[in-house]
Amino acid sequence: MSIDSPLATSGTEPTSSDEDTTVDASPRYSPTGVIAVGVVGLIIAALVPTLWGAVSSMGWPQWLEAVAIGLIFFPAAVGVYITFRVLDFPDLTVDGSFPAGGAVAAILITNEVPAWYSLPAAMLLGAALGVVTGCLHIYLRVNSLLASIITLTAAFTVNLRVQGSANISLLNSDRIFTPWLDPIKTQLESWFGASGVQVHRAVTTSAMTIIVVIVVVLALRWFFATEIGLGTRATGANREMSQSQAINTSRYLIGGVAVSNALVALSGALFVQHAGFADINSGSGLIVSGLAAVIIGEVLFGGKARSVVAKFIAVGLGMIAYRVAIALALNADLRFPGTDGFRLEASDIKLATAAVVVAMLAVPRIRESRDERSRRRART
Amino acid sequence: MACTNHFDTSNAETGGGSAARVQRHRSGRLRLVAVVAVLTMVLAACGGSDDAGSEESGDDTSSVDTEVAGDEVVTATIGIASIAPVAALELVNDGFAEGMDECSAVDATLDYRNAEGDGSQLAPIVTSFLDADVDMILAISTPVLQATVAANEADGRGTPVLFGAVTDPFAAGAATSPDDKPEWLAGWQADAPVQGMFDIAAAINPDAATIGVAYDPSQVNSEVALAKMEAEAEARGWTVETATIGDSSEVGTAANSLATRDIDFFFVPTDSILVNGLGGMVQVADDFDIPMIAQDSGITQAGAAIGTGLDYFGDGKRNADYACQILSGTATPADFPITQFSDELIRYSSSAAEAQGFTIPDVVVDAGEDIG
Repeated sequence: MSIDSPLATSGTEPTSSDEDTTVDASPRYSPTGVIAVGVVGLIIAALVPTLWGAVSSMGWPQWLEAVAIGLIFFPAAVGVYITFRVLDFPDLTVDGSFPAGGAVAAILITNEVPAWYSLPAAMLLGAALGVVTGCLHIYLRVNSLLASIITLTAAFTVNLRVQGSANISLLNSDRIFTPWLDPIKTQLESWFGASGVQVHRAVTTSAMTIIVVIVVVLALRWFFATEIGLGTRATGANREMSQSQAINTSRYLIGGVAVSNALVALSGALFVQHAGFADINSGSGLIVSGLAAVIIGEVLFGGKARSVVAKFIAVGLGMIAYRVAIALALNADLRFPGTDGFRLEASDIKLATAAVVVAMLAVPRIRESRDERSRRRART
Repeated sequence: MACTNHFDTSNAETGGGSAARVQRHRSGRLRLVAVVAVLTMVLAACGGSDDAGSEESGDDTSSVDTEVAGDEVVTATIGIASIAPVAALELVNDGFAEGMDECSAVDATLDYRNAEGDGSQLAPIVTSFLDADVDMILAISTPVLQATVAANEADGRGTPVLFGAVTDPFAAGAATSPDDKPEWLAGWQADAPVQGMFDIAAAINPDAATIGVAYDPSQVNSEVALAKMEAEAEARGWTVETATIGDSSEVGTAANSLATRDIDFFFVPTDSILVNGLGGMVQVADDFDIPMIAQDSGITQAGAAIGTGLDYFGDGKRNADYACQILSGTATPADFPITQFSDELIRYSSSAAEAQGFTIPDVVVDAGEDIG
C-alpha cells in the first residue's frame, strides 16, 4: 500500500464492505461480539425488573446513607488514587491507616478534646504510617507491596495502643456532627415529619462532610501545583527521568505516600464519628473498595477530566457511585422466574467488587486490542 | 557511570574476585550470627518462663508454710483464655474469679489472657499455658474451647479443662454427649433461649409481627441463634427479616436496610461483630423508634434497651465450684457431665428505651435491673 493508502482505503472501503456483507460476516461485527452482546442483553433484560424493584424499594434513608458514606470515603478514594495512579505505588497501608484515623479520633473525642482537632491529628498518624512504608521501600529497598503489608501489620499494634481498647463507643461524646444534629432534625421534621427524622443523621453527615471534602480538594489543588507537588507527580510518571532532572524522588515518594495515607486516616476519623463507635478491626478490604472507586470513577466520570484535581473529583464521585451500587445490590431481591428469590449477602459484595474491578480493568484492554485489530485490518 | 560498569564486567569479576569471596564469607558469617542470636533469644524466652514458674511456686510454698494449717491448702495455677473483650465473656471470668476467691481449699493464681478478637492467637496462648504446667485451663467461648481441646489432646497430660460461655460444645466437636467426653473435660453449656425475647416483645407491642436481625454469617453461634429465632417466630406466626454483615462498619447500613422493611423490633443475637458495631444500629433504632432486644443482658451496655439472657457471671461461679472440687482432689472432671444451666438475667436501660420510643413493660421491670 502506498502513502496515499489511508485515503484510498476510505474511498474504496464502502464498496468492498458491501460486497463483504453479502458474502460473509462484515469485518466490523465479529460473531463472538454479537453473541457477547446478546448474552449481556439477556442478563440485563432479566435484571432490569430486579434492578427496578431494588431501586423502587430503596427508601430515602438508604439512598442518603449511601451518599453520606460515599462522601466520608471520598478522601480515601483520592488517597488510593494518589498512590495507585499518580505515584504508581500499590499501597496496602491504607487498610491500617483507616482504623488509625478512627483510633485517634475516638481517643481524642472521648477525652473531651474538641472534635474538629481530631481530624488533623488523625491525618498526622496516617501520614506517619505512610512515611514508614515509604522509608521501608526507599532505604531498605523492600518491594512496595511488601513494605505496605509490613506497615499494615505493625499498624494493628499501634492502633490498639492509641485507642486503648479494641472498641470504643462515641455515642455519648461530642463529635463534629453533634452540634448540628438537633437543629437539622427539627428542621427536617417540620418539613417531612417522621421521614425527616429518619434521614437527619445522613443529611447532617453529608452536609458537613461535603465542606471537609471541598477544603481537602482545594488544599490538594494548591499542593499539586507547588514545586513539591509537581515533583511528586513527576516521580510517579517516570522515576528515572525525574532523578536525571535532579528531583529528589525518594523524598517525594515518601511524601506522596504520607499524603495518601493521611487522607485515608481522615476518612477513618470521619467514619467513626458518623457510625458512633471505633472498632480496631475495621478497614480491612479498604484497598479493594478504594481501587473499585478509582476505576469506576475513571471510567464513568474521568473522560472529560484533564487536570489532576478534576481526576480527584471524578474518583470521589466514583466512590459515591460505588457505595450507592452496594446499597442497591444489598437491597435487591433477586427474583428469577421459578425461584424463591434470594438476597445478596454482605459477604457476596467482596466477590462482586473484585469482579467489578477486573471488568473495569479489562475495558481499556479490550478497547486497546480492538483498536489494534481494526488498525491491522485497515493496513491489509 | 552505569554504562561504563556494564562494559567493565570482566575486569570487575577478576579484579574483585577475592573481594567478592571475602564478601561472601562475611555475609555467610553474618547469617550464622543472626541465626545463633535468634535461637538464643528463643531459648532465653522459654527458659525465662520456666524460671519465673519455679520462682512463683517457690513463693507460694513459703506462703503456705506461714498459713495456719487445718486442712492443707492446695496451690494451683489456672490459665484462663477468652476470645475477645466482650461483656458476656468478661462476666464469666469475673464470676470464676469470685468463685475461686470463695474456695478456701484452693489458693489459685489466675493467669488471664485475651486474644483481642484474633483467633490465630489462641493456639499460642493455650500452648504457653501447657508449657507453663498450669493445673487447669478455663476456656471462655467456643473458639477457645476448640483450640484448648485440640492442644490438650496433642499434649497428652490430661490437664483438666473447664469451659464457660459455650453455646454448643457438641457442635463444636469437644464432646459427643454430656457423658461421652474426654475424661479431663467438664463445663456448663450456655445455650441462651430466645422465647424470653419474644415474650418481652409481645408485652411491649401485642400487634408486633416482624423482627429484624443483623448478623455475621461466619460465626457459628450467630447462625444457631438465628435458626432458633426463626423457629420461634414461625411458631408464633411472625416474620424474620435478616441482613448480613461482614465487618462492624457495615452494621449501620444493615440496620438502615432492615428499618426500611417495616420491622417492629431489632433482635440482637450474641454476635461479637454485631455487638462491636452496635452503635450503628442504636442510631438507626433511635431515629426510627424501633426497640432493640438483645439475647444477652450485657448487650444493654452497648445500647440495647432490653437484654435478656443467661447469667454468665453464674456460669463462671459454677465453673469455679467444679475447679474447687477438682483441684482439691475431691472430684475429677469425669464426675461432671456437661449440663445446660438456665439461670436467666434481665437488664434494661430506661434511657435507651426512651430514645427508642417505648416504655419498659412491667414484666421486665419486676424481673430485671435498670442500668440507666
